[in-house]
Amino acid sequence: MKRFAGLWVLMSVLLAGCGGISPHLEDNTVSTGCFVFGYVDMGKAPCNLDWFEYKQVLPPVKDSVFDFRTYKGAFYREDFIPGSFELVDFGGRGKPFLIFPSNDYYTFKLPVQESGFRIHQTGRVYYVGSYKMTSKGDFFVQNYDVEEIQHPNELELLQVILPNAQGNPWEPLIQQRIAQLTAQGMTDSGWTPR
Amino acid sequence: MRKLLGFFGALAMGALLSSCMAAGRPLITNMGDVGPGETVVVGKVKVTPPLAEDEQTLNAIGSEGYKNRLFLLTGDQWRDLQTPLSGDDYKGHIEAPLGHTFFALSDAQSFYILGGTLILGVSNQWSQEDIYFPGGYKAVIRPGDRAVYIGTIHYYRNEFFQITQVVIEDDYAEAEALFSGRFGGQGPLRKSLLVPVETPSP
Repeated sequence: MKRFAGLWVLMSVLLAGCGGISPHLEDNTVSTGCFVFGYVDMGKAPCNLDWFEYKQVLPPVKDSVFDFRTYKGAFYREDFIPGSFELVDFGGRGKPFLIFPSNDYYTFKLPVQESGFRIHQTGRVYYVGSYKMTSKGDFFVQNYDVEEIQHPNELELLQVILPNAQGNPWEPLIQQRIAQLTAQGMTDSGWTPR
Repeated sequence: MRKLLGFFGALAMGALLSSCMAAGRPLITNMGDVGPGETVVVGKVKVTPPLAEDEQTLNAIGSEGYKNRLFLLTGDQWRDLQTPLSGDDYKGHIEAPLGHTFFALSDAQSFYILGGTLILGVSNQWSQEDIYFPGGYKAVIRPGDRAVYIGTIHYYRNEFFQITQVVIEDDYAEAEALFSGRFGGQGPLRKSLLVPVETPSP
């Protein structure tokens, strides 16, 4: 019995490993990097958001594709150096059917020419937008698209991510950005993550 | 098993790529291939900065032929292309080798450059990544033209492969020398640079 329990722990670790990197901010990069974040509503998707990849275009590097951290649909990372980047793809493990877990993994690619952003200064918090997946297919043919949405807005999303920055040097900068957005009149609509 | 599935996926993707595209204007090497009512369209496509050696990832079987190739999409009438493209959008395309002069067999009638596309990546998992290029030019062919030079379409891009500028350049002297060398002076090669199309604003 103990052997099986050990197997489950190992399987859990392996499965967690498939789901991307830790949601908690781990690096002290305030002086060298930027915090970049966004959101995808996966309500209409056949999977949850388990990973989100981006590519460093400038300055060029050999292995240029990296993972965002993901948490409740939010994607973010704290060590972006000044440069140019593209959102590449995202996906996750299929949603369970009743009590049966899915063995399918889904990846959605983003169009190359439309998903770029530039980072100019270190120590900044950059919002790349909130999006939702839409389903345009039917039972026989699955067809998905992504469209921009108003909520969560930048303020609402930072509040979701903030607990994962606890104790990290980025925490006060995220709090500062929340205060700045509030002072600018951005409001919290009461949006909550799925 | 996974490798085997990957192999069949790559094979199927390669077959799918070649079967989906409507027929293009054949590239020719012999003026004897030019029949009555036909002409040779001579031109070039350049991209600056040029493609890096490893920028295209063509992993499906048969897809390596798309390396450094840009498909110029043409039509008898002007129209806006909608992406993703359909197989019919490729009807009458010119498969232009980037940076090299092409000699394409064409009906001796004017046509429009509707846009262009380049296959940036094909994997063995049924996925393909395309880059789109703007069109908006008319190639003016006169009845009786045996060979027409339409110019160099020079696309400038930024780091996201967004096209920031298009310039029609005149490299006639170079094209004429290549034409004479290849076809033994079976000209003349008439210069008729691409003309911008007056497109209705959206």
